[in-house]
Amino acid sequence: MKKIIFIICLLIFGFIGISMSIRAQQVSRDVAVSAYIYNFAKNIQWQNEDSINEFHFLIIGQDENILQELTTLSKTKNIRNKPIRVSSTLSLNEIDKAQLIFVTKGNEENLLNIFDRVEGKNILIVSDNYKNKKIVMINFLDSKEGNLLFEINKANIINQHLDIMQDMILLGGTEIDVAELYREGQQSLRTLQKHTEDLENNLINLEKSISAKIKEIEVNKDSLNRQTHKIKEQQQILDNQSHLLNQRENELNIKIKQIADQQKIFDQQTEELRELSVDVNEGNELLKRQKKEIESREFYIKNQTDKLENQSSTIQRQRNLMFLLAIIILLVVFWVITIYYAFKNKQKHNQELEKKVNKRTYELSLLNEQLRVELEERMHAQEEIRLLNQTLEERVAERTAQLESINKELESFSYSISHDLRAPLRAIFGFSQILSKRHRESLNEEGRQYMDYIVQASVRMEQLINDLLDYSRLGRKSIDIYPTSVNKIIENIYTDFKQKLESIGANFIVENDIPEILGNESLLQQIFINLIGNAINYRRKNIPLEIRINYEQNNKTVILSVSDNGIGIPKEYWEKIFNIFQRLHSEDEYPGTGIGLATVRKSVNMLNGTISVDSVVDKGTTFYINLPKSNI
Amino acid sequence: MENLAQILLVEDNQMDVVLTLDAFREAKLKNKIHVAHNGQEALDYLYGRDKYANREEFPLPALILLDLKMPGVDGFEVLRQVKSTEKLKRIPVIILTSSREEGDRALSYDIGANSYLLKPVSFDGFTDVVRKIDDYWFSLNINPPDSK
Repeated sequence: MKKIIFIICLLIFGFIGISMSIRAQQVSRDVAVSAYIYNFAKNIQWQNEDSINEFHFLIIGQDENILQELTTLSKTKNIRNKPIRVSSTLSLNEIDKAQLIFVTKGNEENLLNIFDRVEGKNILIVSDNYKNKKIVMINFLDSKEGNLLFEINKANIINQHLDIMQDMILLGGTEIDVAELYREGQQSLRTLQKHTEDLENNLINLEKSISAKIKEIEVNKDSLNRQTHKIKEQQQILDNQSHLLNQRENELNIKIKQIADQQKIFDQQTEELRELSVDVNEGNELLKRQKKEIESREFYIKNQTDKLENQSSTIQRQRNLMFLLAIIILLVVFWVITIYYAFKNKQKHNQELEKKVNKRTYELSLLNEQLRVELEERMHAQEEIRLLNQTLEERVAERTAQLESINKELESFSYSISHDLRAPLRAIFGFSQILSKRHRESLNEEGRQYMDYIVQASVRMEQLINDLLDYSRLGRKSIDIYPTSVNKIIENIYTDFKQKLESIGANFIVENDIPEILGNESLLQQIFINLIGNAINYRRKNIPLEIRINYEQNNKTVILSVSDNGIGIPKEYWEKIFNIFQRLHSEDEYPGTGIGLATVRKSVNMLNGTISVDSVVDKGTTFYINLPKSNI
Repeated sequence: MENLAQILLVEDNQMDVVLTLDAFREAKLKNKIHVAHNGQEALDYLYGRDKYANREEFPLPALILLDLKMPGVDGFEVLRQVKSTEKLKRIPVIILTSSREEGDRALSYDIGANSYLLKPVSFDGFTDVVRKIDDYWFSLNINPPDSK
C-alpha cells in the first residue's frame, strides 16, 4: 500500500504542471492508472519481444485523460530500450497487433470479445473494475476507501505466453486464484454452446420456412375453394340452360304434335277426295253406260230416221239433252283438276315444316355440344387444381420428413457428444480425486485449493453432461400419453425437495383438485422437478420463498401455473430462456446449466402442450403450461 | 473368501484401466487381475492362444469385466464367443460401460451378459462399484462348477 501511495505522489509531482485545469481527484487516478500500466509492461516479458521495434499500448474506449497521460509518459519512458507507442480505438479489428491492451471502464462488455480474439496471442490485457474474474489478466479495483488497487489472474497471463518478472510482486496487487484447467473447461463448454446454438438456429429457420409453406398452401387452398365455388356457379348456369333447352324441346314436341295433327286432317281430306273421285269414276261409268245406251239409241234413232222421218222433233230434244250432259262432264273434269292442285300445295307446305323442325333440332344439338365441351374443360381445370393440391401436400410431407431426420441427427449428435465427453471427464474427475485423497498432504495450500477446484468443476461438468443427455434423450423414442394425475406426480417429487424447502423456510402451496390431463408420468416429473428447482435457485434471499401450483381449465385444456416470488425475469428474455444454454446469471451468482427450461419446453411439446412465462423483476415469475384435458 | 479368484479386465482405455486397478487397491481387494487391452487380446487369453498357452501362468478367470465400445473386436463379439464356447460359457461376464443406451443393454443381455454396470464418473463411485462386485460375485453369489 505504501508503495502505491509513493508512486502516486511521485507521479502527481511529475505531472502537476499539465493537470492544473483538471479536477485533482480525477487526475490522480488517471495518472496512477497510467503509471501502473507502464510498470506492468516493465515487469512482463513478451515472448516475441526480440522481434518487435516498439511496444504498442492500445486503449479500447474513449478515455482522453488516460490517452493523454499515457502518451505523455511514453515520450519520456521506454521499455528495455524500445520506444512505447500509445493509441486509442473503438473497433476491435487490429487489436492483435498490440502488446498491451487497456480496456477502459465503459467497455466491460467488450472484454469477453477481446479476450476471445487475443487468447494465446502473447498480448497482455489490463481491465478496469471488471466483475468476471475468470477472463481478466490484470484488473484495477477501487477500494471503499478510494484507493486504487489491482488484481492479477496469473493463469490467464501465463496462457498468453507472457512471463511475470520477479519485480511485479513489488508493485503490490492481489492474485486471483483461478485454475487454468477450470478456464479451459469453461472455454470448451462455450464452444460447444455456440455450436449447439447454431444448430438450434438452423432448426428454427427450417421451422419458419415450413410454416411459410403451410401458409402458402392455405392461400392456395383458399383460391381453390374460390374456383370450386365459381365452377359450382357455372354448373348452376349450365343446369339452367339445360332446363331451358328441355323447355324448348318440349315446345318443339308440341309443334311436331300440331303438325302431326294437321297431317291427320290432311290425310282425312285426302281420304274424302279419294272417295269423291270414286264417286266421279262411278259417274263416268254411268256416263259410259249411258253413252252406250245413247249409241244404241242413236242406232235405234238412225233406224227410226230411216224409218221415221216424222219423228225429227223428238230427235231434236234428244240432241239438246246430249249437249247438257257434255257440259256437266266438263264441269266435273275441271273440279277434279282443282282438287289435285290443292293436294299438291298441301304436300309442299308439309315438307317446308319438316325442314324447319330439322333445322331447329340441329341448332339445339350444336348448343348441347358446346355445353358438353365447356363442362369437360371445367372438369379438367378442377382435376388440375386437385393435382396441384396433392403436389403441395406431398412437398410439405417431404419437408416435414426432412426436418424430422435433421432433428434426429441433432439429437443423436448431442447424445454421442455428451457420451464421449464422459470418458475424459472420468479421467479428470477420478485422478483428481485420487490426488486430493492420497497426495493431499504433499501439496501446499495453493495446490490443495486447485485440486478442490478441479473436483468442483468435474462435479459441475457431470451435471451438465447429465442434463444434456436428459435433453437429447427426449424425443429419441416415442412416448405413451395417458390420463395422468398432476397432484399425484407433485406428491411423488415433493419428497426430493422436502428437505431443501424446509431448510430455507419455503412455503409450498398446491391446489389439490387439479383435473386429470393427458400426459406421461416421467415427462411431467421432469417438468415439475425443473420448474421447482428453478424457483429454489432463483429465489430472493431476503424474503421467504413461496411456490404456488394452481390451475385453470376450459372445455379441452387445463392450464397449470407454477408461480414463485423470486428474482423474476426481464421481459426481453421471456422467449430466450427456453433455448438451450441460455443463462441470465453467472454460475457464481446462481447455479444452473442452462438446459433445464429447454428440457421443460421439449417435454411439454411432446405432450402436445405449450408453455409460456409471465414475470416481474423483483416480484416473481409464473410459468403457464397448457395441456389437453383427459376426457374421462 | 476366494480372494485369489482371477479376474480378466477387458478395457481399451488406459486411464479407465488405471482407475479400475486403483479402485481395487483402494477397496483393499487382492484379486489377481489380468488386463486385456482389446477384444482380440481377451479372446487370445481366454482360448489360451500363442503366448497365453500356459494355463499355469494364465489361468481361466473366475470373472470377466468387459467394456463394450472397443475398436476391432468389440465387447459384444467377445461376449458372443465366450457364451458359445462350451469351456467358457459358465464364466460370469459383467459388462462395465458408460453407455446407458437401450439397444446396448438389450443386446448385452440377449447374448448372455450376467450383469450390466455403468462406469461411475467419480473415483469414489468406482471404488464403491468394485467393492460391491467383490461382495456380490465372490462372497454372496455361488459360482458355477468349472466346465472342463
